[in-house]
Amino acid sequence: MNPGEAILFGLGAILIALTLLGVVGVPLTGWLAGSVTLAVAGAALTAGLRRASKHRLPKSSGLMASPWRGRLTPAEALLLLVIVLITGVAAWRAAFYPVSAMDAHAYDGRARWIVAERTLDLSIYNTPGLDGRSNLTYPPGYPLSLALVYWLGGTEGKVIDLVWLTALLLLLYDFVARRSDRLTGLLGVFLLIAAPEFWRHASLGLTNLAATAAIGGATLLATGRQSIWRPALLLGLATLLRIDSVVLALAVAIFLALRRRHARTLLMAAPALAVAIGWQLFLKASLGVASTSALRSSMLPDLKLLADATSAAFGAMSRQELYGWCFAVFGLGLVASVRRWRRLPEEVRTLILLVIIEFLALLVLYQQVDPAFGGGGGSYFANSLKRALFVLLPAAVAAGLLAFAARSADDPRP
Amino acid sequence: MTDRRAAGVVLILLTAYALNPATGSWARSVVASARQMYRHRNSLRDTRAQSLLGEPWRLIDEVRRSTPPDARILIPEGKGADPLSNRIWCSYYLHPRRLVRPSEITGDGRPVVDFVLVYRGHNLERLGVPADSIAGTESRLVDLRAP
Repeated sequence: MNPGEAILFGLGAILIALTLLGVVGVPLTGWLAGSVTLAVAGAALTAGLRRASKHRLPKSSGLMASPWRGRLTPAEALLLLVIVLITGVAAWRAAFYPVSAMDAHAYDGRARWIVAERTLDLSIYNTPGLDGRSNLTYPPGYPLSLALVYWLGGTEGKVIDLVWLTALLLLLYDFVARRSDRLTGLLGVFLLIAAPEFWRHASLGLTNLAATAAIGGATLLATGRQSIWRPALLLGLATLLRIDSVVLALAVAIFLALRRRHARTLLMAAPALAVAIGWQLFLKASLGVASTSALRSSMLPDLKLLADATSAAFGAMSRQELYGWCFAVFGLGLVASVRRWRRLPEEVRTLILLVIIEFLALLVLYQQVDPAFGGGGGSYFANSLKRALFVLLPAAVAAGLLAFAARSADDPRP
Repeated sequence: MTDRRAAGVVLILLTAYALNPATGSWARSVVASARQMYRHRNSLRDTRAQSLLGEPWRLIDEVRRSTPPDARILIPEGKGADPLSNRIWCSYYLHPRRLVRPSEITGDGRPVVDFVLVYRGHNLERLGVPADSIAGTESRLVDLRAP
């Protein structure tokens, strides 16, 4: 387990513990949150960091033993400096400005209500017309993570996004660097943090960035064959942050079970399903509503949305003001690897296919979402799909870079 | 690749990123954002909100200062009334005041509201101003409790 993974699992464990305590009616106080945070995060971080520093891999694995040690080269130092500066400005913005994004008020408002009222019970909000489509009725993972900041004495809950972001960047770096070299790992981190709209989300207080950390992390971990439970738990965490993540969890589990001809892999979706079903039961009991009301009845496929979304993400003129060069790197890596597909490492092939599967799953999902809530067919830019695609960025960057790295390893120059 | 060549490649990459129209404009906005925050580093939270949200913030602030916590306020609705037409957005600042949308008022005038939030001409018709004279830029808080 690398430091990024340790942070994700630590934060995830805190949120799951607080959710379970809140659902059974335990008052959510600062003392309780502080105790859970100290107990869970302390244990997870200590264990994770100890393992990261002592981890030794057999040489036959083909992975770098530790991308965290050794002196930096000038190129690595330069890239690291730029990454730290960009991330630092995002952190400053998150702490400096109050909540401004429209939807962010629902999450931050709910976090403040949870802190004030000490309960997850939605019926106290006294908001007429509150139904399963409102983001006030999303699972409580993200508002609880914002509430953690308030419980621990912070003034802007959205600074928690920097924890999600840091975990994701560390995880991405470790994944790419172990399979290539440190400079490629840092390059992956730069491409991700320098994706303009994704960077802006680091200071907005919206769910997309946290969900990207959980789903991106799960996708990277799902490519290996070590354990299905690590990606499974992250997919469960992603569903606690955004209910629609359950669709991605199902898509990933089914695809990998078919690809590996291994039925047990289907269990990868179990935590996500448990969270989704559990939260729906709680919603039914407390408000009498369900998240499925955000879906519309029409199931007709919209080819225009497919074409627009594919062009925006993977087209020659991919939307750089949204995704930077992330999808462009993925597209180039894909093109470069087509003729030598069978010679690519299995993990890289799986990663490339997972990006495509997740893209299609999101496309199908957002077509079914009511247009009044950012879904439906028609214009891609009026569709929340454009931000939902953030969850693909870490895997897309890793897949693209590793496809190139495998190519240069195949073709060493004299 | 030698260390020197790798550093050159990274420099070229960063330069290309900064010169690219889309990513370059973002890179400049990162620098501008840092400079803006540094310039206003001592400003109060409300001043920062005002600089981000503009007129809607001025109105919300006026409502917060001028209305009691149990006030019933008519918020605007429809195109061009964002973000004040969003009840969750308004609730974030105005809780526990009761916020009512025009479409929720029935034929018998219920629920009765104490204040009307006029925003860019929205809700002026509720004050008896004829539709053809609605000024699209007018924004203010109207107290209906006053005799």
